[in-house]
Amino acid sequence: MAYEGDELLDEITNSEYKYGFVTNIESEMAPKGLNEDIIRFISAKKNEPEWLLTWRLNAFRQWQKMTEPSWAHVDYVPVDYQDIHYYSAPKPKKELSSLDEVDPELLKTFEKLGISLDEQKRLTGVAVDVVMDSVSVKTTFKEELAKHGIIFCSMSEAVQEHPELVRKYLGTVVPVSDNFFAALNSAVFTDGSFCYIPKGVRCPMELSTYFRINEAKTGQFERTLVIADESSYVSYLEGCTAPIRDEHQLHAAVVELVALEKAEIKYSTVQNWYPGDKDGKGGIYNFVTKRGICLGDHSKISWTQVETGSAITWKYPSCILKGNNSIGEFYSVAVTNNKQQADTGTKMIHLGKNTKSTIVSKGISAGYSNNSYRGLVKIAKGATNARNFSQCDSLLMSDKCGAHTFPYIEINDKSAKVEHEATTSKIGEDQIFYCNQRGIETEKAISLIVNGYCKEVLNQLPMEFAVEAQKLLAVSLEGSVG
Amino acid sequence: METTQQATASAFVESIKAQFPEQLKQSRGTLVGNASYLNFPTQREEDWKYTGISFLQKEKYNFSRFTETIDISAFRQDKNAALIVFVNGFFRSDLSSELPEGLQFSDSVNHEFPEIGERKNMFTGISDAFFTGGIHIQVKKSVEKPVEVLFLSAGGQSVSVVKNHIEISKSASARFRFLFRSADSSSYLTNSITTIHVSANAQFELDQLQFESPAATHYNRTDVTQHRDSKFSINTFSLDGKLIRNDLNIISEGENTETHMRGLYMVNGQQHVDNHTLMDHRVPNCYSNELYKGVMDGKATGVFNGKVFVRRDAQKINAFQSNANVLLSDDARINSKPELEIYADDVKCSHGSTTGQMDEEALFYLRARGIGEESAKKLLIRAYAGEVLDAISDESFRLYLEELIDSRFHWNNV
Repeated sequence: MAYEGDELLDEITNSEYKYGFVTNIESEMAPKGLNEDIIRFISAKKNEPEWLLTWRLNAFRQWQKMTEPSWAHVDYVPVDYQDIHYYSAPKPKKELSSLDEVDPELLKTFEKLGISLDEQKRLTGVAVDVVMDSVSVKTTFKEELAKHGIIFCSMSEAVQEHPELVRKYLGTVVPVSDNFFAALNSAVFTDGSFCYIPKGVRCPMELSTYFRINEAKTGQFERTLVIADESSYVSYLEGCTAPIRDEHQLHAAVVELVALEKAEIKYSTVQNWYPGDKDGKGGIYNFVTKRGICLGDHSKISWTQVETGSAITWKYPSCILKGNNSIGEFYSVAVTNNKQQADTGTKMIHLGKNTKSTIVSKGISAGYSNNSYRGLVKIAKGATNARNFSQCDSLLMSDKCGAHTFPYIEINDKSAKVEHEATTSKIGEDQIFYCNQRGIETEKAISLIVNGYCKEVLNQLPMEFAVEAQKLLAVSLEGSVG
Repeated sequence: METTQQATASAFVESIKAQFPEQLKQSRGTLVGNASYLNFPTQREEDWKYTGISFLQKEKYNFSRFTETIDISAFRQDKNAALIVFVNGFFRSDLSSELPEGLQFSDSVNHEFPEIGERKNMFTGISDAFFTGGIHIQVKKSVEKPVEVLFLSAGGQSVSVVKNHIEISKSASARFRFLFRSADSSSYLTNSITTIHVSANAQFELDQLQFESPAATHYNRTDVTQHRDSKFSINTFSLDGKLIRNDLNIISEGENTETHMRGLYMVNGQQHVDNHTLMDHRVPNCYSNELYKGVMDGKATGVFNGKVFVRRDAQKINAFQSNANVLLSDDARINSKPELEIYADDVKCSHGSTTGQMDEEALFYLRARGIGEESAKKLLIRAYAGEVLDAISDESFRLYLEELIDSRFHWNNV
């Protein structure tokens, strides 16, 4: 039978944030502010080994010397880093009790999304590691995975049980001093997911974590590390939700992927955090560093993202193609509505020979929002026969929004073949007219057209995510028809 | 507090100021002092990310009116065209020809120019304070013959600071050709700033040839304002020079304008060419098309940064932008950054950027038909460059450019 965690899951997997809610779990909070003592407090709370504390403190000292980046095409009220609780953990005994706590309006939204709670429970092919306010509450399917030798646990557990793996790979893809937010995350990360797929193993199920920012005024600093050993395969899903908050909340996560020889990692994200209200009040600041490295030959990393939430998105999932014949892929749909701002894209760094990368980015701007694609394709000298194809399309749905494309292309090898193309256009009036004529109302017609426009990306998502994402697009663009 | 960049810039500006002719200092007034507060561009700035000019700090340039006799016939293309000559930035009436009717010309040293406010940098500051000449022209009615303006550098270590202003009156049309050439292979600095006003219903075509000495540094900025129903075309050919930086800013201020921007940069050795373009669509119902093509050989570097900006409510804009590059050697590099910044929804805008090498199969095809490797490569590059060259309305000028391109590259080494 379903255990308590399932209800929790049900609530957090799908929702449109008209009706945010707060889970009342008594938190054990660190005082506001950030200094070395707070870092020691977090480290001690989590019973971490000495090397990790040193690593955190080093990151903190580097962070203090850094300045917040301002190059992105976004505009926001600056974050007061001393006004955040850097640690809050739900007390282990108390968990959310029943479905009754769910707002009936929210259930209606679920219905609108077409995912009944019962159906949710039946999605048994998905193992979920729930991260609630920084500490893993529940881990499922662990035994099943253990049979294959797969390690899938929270980061704090991994630090205790597999310190050698964590120590070997943590910070190798995203070094502590990589950027302002990565350094901050390295200093104060409280939890996250850890995954290791052993040699030759094809992970039998989609691994997933659902993040949730829950406690008021807590920054969420997740750290995810996925390692695919030689000839292994894993598909990892990440979905994000958060309840309504008046004050801006900061999310600065770091995700690191390591693919060894012939390994393949597929990382899919549906991000639907609270975007703030119509006037741009509230909403999440999503400043995330995601990067994967194709360390071994013939390895592959594929990022797929559907970004509909957050007030500010600053996110560039990247691939370092170090191994020969390695492949990097980036498929993205970014939707901004009302006063949302997104500056997102990817970096493809070609170092190995015969490396290939594909970038498909679809931006949709509505309302007063701004949506930018910012990407880098770099072909290093000696990366012979590198190949890149990039396509960045933007769709504008109102005359008050903006769509921007800032691709950087740096080529240092003559054998490289690099193509980039971008288009910006309005949603086709003739297409809408065609639908209207056939009795499809404008709102539905737009949803239809947008889904067709994003098909290339949505097709990359695992089945259940794809369904969710399609509906999410429709909900996100609700009321954007002018 | 003065930053290092400011200190470097003021040292550089001071070295130029020291050489600046006394008699001109008076007329420039405070601008002479203003120039030194600007920053010396470094690669930490987004605008100069791929172009380093720190070598300029070691250079000492001087203003010199070159008085020796020069045979300029080798530098001009069309013997029939009207000709205006500047040597080291100074107007030479003795070398210039009579101008056709409809043009009102004077040396810009006799005019006052407003300080460049937007997107200013050290070079615009130097230009504001220390320009020694340039064309100041009003095209009052259509001129059939092309007008050639030769900017010649001679004698070495010279600095040419020219400021040009061209105004095309309502419904007039004209074709101008700027030839930036060198009498020798010495090192020098060219700083050329041109403002162009294309009035309502007017047409203007500007062809720029940058065929400088291999040791020369060239900063070029062209600011264009287009009014209602006007048409403007600019073709820039950067074929020789140590470092060439072109900033092209076009503002479309009236409806129904048509704009064409084309560029061809072919460089080898250690050369560096940087093209920055900005197409600013401020009003609805306009069209712009941009095509820049590059060939990089040796250790040369190409930089392209094109931006299309569509302002709020500038609806029904069709803006296209394309950048293509061919790398011929292992050490050649290209950095391309095409940008779109769009704030209106009923628009069609696109950009594309491609980079590749010479098509092996096409080469094989030609060689299999008995065409030698060198000729085959030449043919392919010509065909590639042809797309830009074809845009030149004057056929003799196009043929002239093709010859120049052939003389520059020794394709057997490719």
